[in-house]
Amino acid sequence: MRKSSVLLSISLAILLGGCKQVSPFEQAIKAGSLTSQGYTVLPDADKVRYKNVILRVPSEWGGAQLPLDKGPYLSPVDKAIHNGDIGPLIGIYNQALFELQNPRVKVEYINFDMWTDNFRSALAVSLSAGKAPAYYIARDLPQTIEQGMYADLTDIMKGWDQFQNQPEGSIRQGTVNGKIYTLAANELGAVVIRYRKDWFREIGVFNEYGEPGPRSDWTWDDFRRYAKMLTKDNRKGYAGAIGSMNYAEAYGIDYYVPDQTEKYTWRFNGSDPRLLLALQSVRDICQKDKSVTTSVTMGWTEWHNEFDSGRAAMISGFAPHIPRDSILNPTKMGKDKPFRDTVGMVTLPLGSNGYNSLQPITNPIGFDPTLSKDQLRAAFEWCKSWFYGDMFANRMRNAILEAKLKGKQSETYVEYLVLPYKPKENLLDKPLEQVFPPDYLGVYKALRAAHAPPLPREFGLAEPAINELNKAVVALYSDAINTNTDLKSLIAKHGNLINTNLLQFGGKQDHDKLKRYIEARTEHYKKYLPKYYDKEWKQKTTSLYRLPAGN
Amino acid sequence: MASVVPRKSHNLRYKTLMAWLFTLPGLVVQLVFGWLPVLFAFVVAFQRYYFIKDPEYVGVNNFKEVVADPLVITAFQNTLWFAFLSVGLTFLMPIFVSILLMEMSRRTIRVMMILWFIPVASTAGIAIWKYMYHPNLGLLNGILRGLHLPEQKWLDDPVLAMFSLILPGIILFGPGLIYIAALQNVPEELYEAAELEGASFWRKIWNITLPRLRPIIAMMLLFSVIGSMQVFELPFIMTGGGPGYATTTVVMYIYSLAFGAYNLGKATALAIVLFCAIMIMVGFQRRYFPENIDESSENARS
Amino acid sequence: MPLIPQVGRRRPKTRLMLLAIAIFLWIGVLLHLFPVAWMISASFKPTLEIFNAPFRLIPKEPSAASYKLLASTVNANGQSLNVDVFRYPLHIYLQNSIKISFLTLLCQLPITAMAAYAVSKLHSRRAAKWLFYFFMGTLMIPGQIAIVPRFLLLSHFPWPTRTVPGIPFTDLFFPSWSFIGTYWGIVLPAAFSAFNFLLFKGFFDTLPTELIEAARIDGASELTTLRAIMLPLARPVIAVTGYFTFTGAWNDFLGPWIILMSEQQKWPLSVALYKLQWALTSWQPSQGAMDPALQTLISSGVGYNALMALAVVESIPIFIAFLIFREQLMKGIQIAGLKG
Repeated sequence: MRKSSVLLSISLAILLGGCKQVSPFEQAIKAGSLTSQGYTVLPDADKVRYKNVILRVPSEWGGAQLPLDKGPYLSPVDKAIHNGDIGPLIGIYNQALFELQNPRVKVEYINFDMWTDNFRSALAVSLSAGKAPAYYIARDLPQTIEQGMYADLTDIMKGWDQFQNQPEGSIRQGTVNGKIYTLAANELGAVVIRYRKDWFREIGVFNEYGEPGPRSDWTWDDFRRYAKMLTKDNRKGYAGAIGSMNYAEAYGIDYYVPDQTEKYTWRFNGSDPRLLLALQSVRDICQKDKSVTTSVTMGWTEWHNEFDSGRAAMISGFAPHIPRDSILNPTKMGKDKPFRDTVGMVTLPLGSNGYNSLQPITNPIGFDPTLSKDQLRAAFEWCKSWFYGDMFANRMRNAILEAKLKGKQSETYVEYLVLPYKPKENLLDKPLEQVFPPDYLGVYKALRAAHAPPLPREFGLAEPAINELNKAVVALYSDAINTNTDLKSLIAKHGNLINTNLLQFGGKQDHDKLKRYIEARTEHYKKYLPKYYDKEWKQKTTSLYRLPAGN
Repeated sequence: MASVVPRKSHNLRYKTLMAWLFTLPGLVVQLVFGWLPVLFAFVVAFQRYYFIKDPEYVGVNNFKEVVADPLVITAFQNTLWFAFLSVGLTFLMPIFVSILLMEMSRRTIRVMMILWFIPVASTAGIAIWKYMYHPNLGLLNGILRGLHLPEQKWLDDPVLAMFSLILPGIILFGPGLIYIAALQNVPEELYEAAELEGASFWRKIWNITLPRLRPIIAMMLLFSVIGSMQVFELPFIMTGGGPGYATTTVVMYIYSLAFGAYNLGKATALAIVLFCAIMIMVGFQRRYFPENIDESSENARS
Repeated sequence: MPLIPQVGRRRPKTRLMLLAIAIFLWIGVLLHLFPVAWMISASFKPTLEIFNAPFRLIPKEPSAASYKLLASTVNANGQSLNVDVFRYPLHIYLQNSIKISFLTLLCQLPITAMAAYAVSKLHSRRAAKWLFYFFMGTLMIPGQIAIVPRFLLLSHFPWPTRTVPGIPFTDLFFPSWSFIGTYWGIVLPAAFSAFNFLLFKGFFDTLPTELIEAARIDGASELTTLRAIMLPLARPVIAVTGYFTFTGAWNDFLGPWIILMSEQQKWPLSVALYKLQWALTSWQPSQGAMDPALQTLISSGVGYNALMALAVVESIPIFIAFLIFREQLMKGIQIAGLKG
């Protein structure tokens, strides 16, 4: 009896003690604060229950792009394994790793095409149906932000150790009325000029590195001269939509300026004498010099085809593409023409007024505004890990190994060259200087040092839809190139169109916001482009950017 | 007597019931997808749409915007110019070719018809021509270069662009299925009678064939005017509305307002304006080109 | 046959005239065939030849590389393109096109034929007249007016609008379905065709009513009458409407483009072709946004050969449909000579 009572009491004590020990565990489950260690000991049913933060990852950024069909194998995973298709498997591994690091999170890959024309309506439909991914490209800014399609990230961003590494342009793009909505993706880029080094050697133009090609501080006039020199019977100096890389951009001409009548916020900048010069210069280049191929039936893919088939000496290109081509397609320009010695890159030409349009851009990423707090945090953690953290390192490590096994150059060098963040670890076996020619490195050095001017949206000013405005401006340039109509009447005609269709914002001009915006620009130019400030901007603030006295 | 009447009425009721049952699916589809959107257009045109927020009424604001928009005028000019060119340059040819085709032997007609109607998918056909117009790689400039003629800018030239859209229709001439069907119904005796009277080739076409085709021609003219006023895919794929706004038609502008600028209200208001314009043209045409077969044959007889 | 009398065809002047007409017509036929030949030829050219020898009709080194690229979405370097149309292999688009066309065919023909039969033979004179106007009215109304309202209707079917401001209770929650991104969004609006209704009705009008009366006296139900007596007679007109419906659905671009734009795995060939030509000829990087995968497209040297290959693939099925329906088509056209 005694024995049994002792046993009973002991077992009771154990039970009670056990209860006491169990309850914090239960609490941890309820609060969702289990560590990875605590999570792994849970029974399966509890594990399923515990994973209650759904993170929908777009398969384009962070997805495991498994083969579409399984073919003769058991499953797509099986196929990837036996095919030596390690990339998607690393994606799965990364997913498992991330879920272990964040036990409450359950990652789901979804297909969401972010590059369609109707991005905005497609996103709106997915958002209202609750089917949008947790994060996606931020396009059509700032209107999409104003319509509530992106979550406010201000607090998360401010408390992030790599916030300072964000390209300034990317931050400015995604800032509306002082609040930050976007994060930079993993490629630092800009539109640059891709040129043929061998042909620049022919015309005897060399850059500051002693290699053939234009100097990084070349001007629009140099561009025009070189284009003409490079034009020969079967090839043109430049191929491309001349509206996208033109005089106006080099000289920093804005397409809209404060409305001097104060009726609207903005008016088309039709009275700027530089605009007239820009149109004249573009018209001359096409009609007199005949050094440019340009057509409405050609797009970027075609421009690149023109360049690759040797019918254009310069085209506009996207900065990361050129180093990537030099790694992935080293014999693209011909067996006897190594890519890095044949194709060069340089930043866009400058204006002679000291303006420099170079600004680093990345694809900005925004987050689903309907996410819960936990989901938002998880999505942000995922982005960090994917862009420069553990997942990034895994991908890079695998890329190096895989390339070695398959006997190819590894793309990793490019990833490190264009990364806007500071990665946790450096996995490269040799410095980038040994991989890329100085002109590639020079562009990236300049890109990292460049600064982006303030945008009206940061001060709460409305902006016209950028795509629509671009279309309208392209139409103006197209008319200037393809007709002989008097340029002033062209400006008047298209200006009227832009004013009525794109700049007719309701409401009165907000004097204060406008003033702060102009002051911010003045500060920016004083600090970073003093030559431009002295030569032109100072005078502009008394004319085009003069604030009306009223209000 | 008493037993027949209820049976007949039952039969009648049964017949009516079956009639409506047969009609019902078509009725529903036509009501919901045919008429409702048209009626609803008159609601959307007075609203402003947002993607996240609910729509709100804005009165005639959308119409005001349409009237004030200089691009609307350009688009209407382009559309009318396209309709004029395309109807003017490509409408008569199929009639003429169909009439000539009937002169061939039956076997030749069969072979030609089959070759003529080998179909190419419509977007594919547009893509082929876009390739033909390519400034460097296109065949048309290649031919011009081969003949040492000045190369043309085709789709890049604001004046030439619209012609270039219609050019395939001119080059690729052929008969019209509907005309051939109609021509087979023209009684041969009429021609024989005319032959006895010594009428010439052209006179026979003018006096016998064309009056007989008149109702079909009137109907086809109506359709081709309406069709060319609504042209979308051709300029959308070929030029995207460029160069400048030289080939932006009204329907393309409606599309870009709705799905590019996301201004659904203004797009619909413009669609209603286009609708009214087409209706006016149709009314005009009905007045001056009646397609009533009895009326026209009476005219021919008298 | 009738303009130049049969009797005098041996006369040299007439013979010359006939010859001239024949030459003229054959030129027309050849001009029609040439773009098709050019399309096929370009699709078999390697990319380098497209650029360096663009004007040869017969490719110097014919290659099926474009077709391979479209079918496998892997370029010559072994890179998976994973961009634009190359995200999915060709057979997916082909399947989608077939699905859309057959679904449209299956929905449209019975619904339209039944309605036309009822209006032609079953309804009272008064009802038939009103129904005729009801069904035909939309043919006269330019369809473009309905682009936006139809899109809105399909995005929260059956309500054209989520709420009607100013009218009470309309802001309550009603169940609704979105057909955006589904095949039904294309097929349902096409489930009735006013044009085919006209063809069917024109045909049924030519059939004598006695046929139906006789069947009725034999005790056949209306459905049996339609199935066993009317439809076999209507075979040529079904062939014509079927062919038109099939090619119409196959060629349709704007509908699938608006409805399926963000659902690439559901695109039909017409949309895929548009997107490929867009990537070639219109694509410009928009400000601050650049599809990272486009680099592989750009550096793979995808040119007009791939576009033409896609055009060939898009055209083959409707060519087959044409071959199948050819005889019926020629017959049917005479019958459905659009008399009223």
